[in-house]
Amino acid sequence: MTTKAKRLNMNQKYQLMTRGLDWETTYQDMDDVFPYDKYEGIKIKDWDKWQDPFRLTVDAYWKYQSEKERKLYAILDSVAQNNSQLSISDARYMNAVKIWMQGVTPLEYNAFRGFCTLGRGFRGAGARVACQFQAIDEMRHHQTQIHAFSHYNKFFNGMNQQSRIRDRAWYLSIPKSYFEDAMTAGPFEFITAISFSFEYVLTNLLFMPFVSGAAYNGDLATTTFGFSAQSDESRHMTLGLEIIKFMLEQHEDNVPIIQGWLDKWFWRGYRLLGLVGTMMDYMLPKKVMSWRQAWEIYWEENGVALFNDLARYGIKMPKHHETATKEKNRITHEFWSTIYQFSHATALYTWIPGNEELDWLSAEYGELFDTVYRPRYEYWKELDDKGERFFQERLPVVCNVCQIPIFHTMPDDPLKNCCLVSEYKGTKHQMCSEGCLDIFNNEPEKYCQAYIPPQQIYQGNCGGATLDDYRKWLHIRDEDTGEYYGSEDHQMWEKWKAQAGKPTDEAA
Amino acid sequence: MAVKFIGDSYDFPCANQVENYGGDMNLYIVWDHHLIYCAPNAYRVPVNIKFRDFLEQVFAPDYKQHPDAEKVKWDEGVWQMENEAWTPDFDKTLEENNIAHNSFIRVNTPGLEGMHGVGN
Ligand SMILES: [Fe+2]
Ligand SMILES: [Fe+2]
Ligand SMILES: [Zn+2]
Repeated sequence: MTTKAKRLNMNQKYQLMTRGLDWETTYQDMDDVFPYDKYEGIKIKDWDKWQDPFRLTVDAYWKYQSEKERKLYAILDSVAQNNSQLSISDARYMNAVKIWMQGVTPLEYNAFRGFCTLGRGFRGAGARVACQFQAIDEMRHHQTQIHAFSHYNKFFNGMNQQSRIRDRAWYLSIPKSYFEDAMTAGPFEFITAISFSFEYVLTNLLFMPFVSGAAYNGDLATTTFGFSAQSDESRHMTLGLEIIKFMLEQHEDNVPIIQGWLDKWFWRGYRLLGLVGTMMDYMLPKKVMSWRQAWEIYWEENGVALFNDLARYGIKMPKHHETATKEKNRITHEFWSTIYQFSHATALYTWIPGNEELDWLSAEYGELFDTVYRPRYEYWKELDDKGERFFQERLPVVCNVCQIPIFHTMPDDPLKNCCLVSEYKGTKHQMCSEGCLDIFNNEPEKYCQAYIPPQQIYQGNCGGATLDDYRKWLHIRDEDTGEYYGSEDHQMWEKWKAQAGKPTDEAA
Repeated sequence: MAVKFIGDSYDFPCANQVENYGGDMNLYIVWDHHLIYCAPNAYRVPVNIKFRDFLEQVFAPDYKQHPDAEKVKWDEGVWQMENEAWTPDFDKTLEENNIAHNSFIRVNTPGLEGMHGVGN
């Protein structure tokens, strides 16, 4: 005789299928089975206090995700069939896609690797399961992005060396080093860095502007994977907040350790986001919102409110947040100036913004833009008109922590570079800011090993001593680089527009 | 605070130690208020080049697209090393000037403060 099993509700299923499968080991010491979750000093008294707000099981996860995949790939097919590359706002926009694909898509893959490690590393089953699901999400993000962008790769330059330049190019060492810094830390620091600082605190400044920028600029492929990833992201954000509260509630000794990580990862995240802000301000022909405005809404209002909430645990505002706010009117212009003059060593094109765009920047950034950056751009435009397009041939000093060329200026003097020094083991190291200097001085043993592109070039490890040799070593072709106007992307775009009977740049 | 690690020790050489430069060294230098060149410049240099030769033959040509480049007189500059006041001897070598691997030098040239009056 068979009895029909009683149907379980979601919560019972979750309990049985995740925590119910966990056990305390007896043949082996638990500390030997989970060797990595104590050395950072985080004390967990009761892993069962971990709350997984989604209570996902494998079968439910599979069902949701496969549904999303079906929809996504149906749209990606139609993107290809309908030549959707023709409906973007302008071919300059494609450089935002390139920078995402070159710099951010590899981070999705590294997130996958990192969360795999955590899915094995924590001794609490609830946390392990949440990290395992996130690992699969992140692999999915990496794949769907590659698939979405592969259509554009058929038409536009700069996308064909992704894995090589991810590992070699100076400007991609900025995001790469950020993630590798987290991956080489312990599991609790990794989850604080990625799930909380990156995904919870800063994601509105990263993911949202990119996806809404894509929508504004007629990029259907990116918009679609963006929306497809959004429900995953909201799960990740919840995990980020959950883990922080869990650690803070478990033991008061955890508070100063977490404060140190929040200080560090706020600053590292902020430095990295300068690249995204630059994309928002300069690479989107149709603007969504300026970096300044995004900073005011997502950090000065929402971020500060979040930290006020955490004050009851003894958490303070992240160190140097005042400096980040002071820089909000300059950081993207300084960054664009840098990419503009070094774009012959990138797989990106750059340009001087048109008059309407300069007016928009003036309106968004006011006096500082009008007195410093606008005349700078006008001078470069003059040089370009004379056939002397401005490129910097000399390698820059690069920050030993954030790995960005030290274009940054003094917090209270935007007319003077800020370059700070710290000596360790008899070698001097340069940093861009007090924020990066603190990070270096807290763990000099780690950052003294950083792979800094100009240093490696001069040591003879990157194909030669000049930028030309270096570009060859990157396998970036001449036609992938430099000035947008006159580039192959530009010429192709003009031809398409002429065929469609639209006014070209020359006619306009 | 120091790095937390697993195992008995955590000890690695600096990736940018002078030993990796075959007798040369790195020198970092910025001409303040000429920000169309975005960052301090990095050079691999021989230690026995005269400071004046370095400035005139190597450093100054890198600013060739700046209108101030023709007018500059380095002897009139106000110099810093590691952000502190410093007086170079132009006719001595880098080494004799106590310029070491990865030294950071800053020069300010009163009267030549970039274009547009704002350090461009
Ligand atoms: Fe992701
Ligand atoms: Fe995520
Ligand atoms: Zn830095």
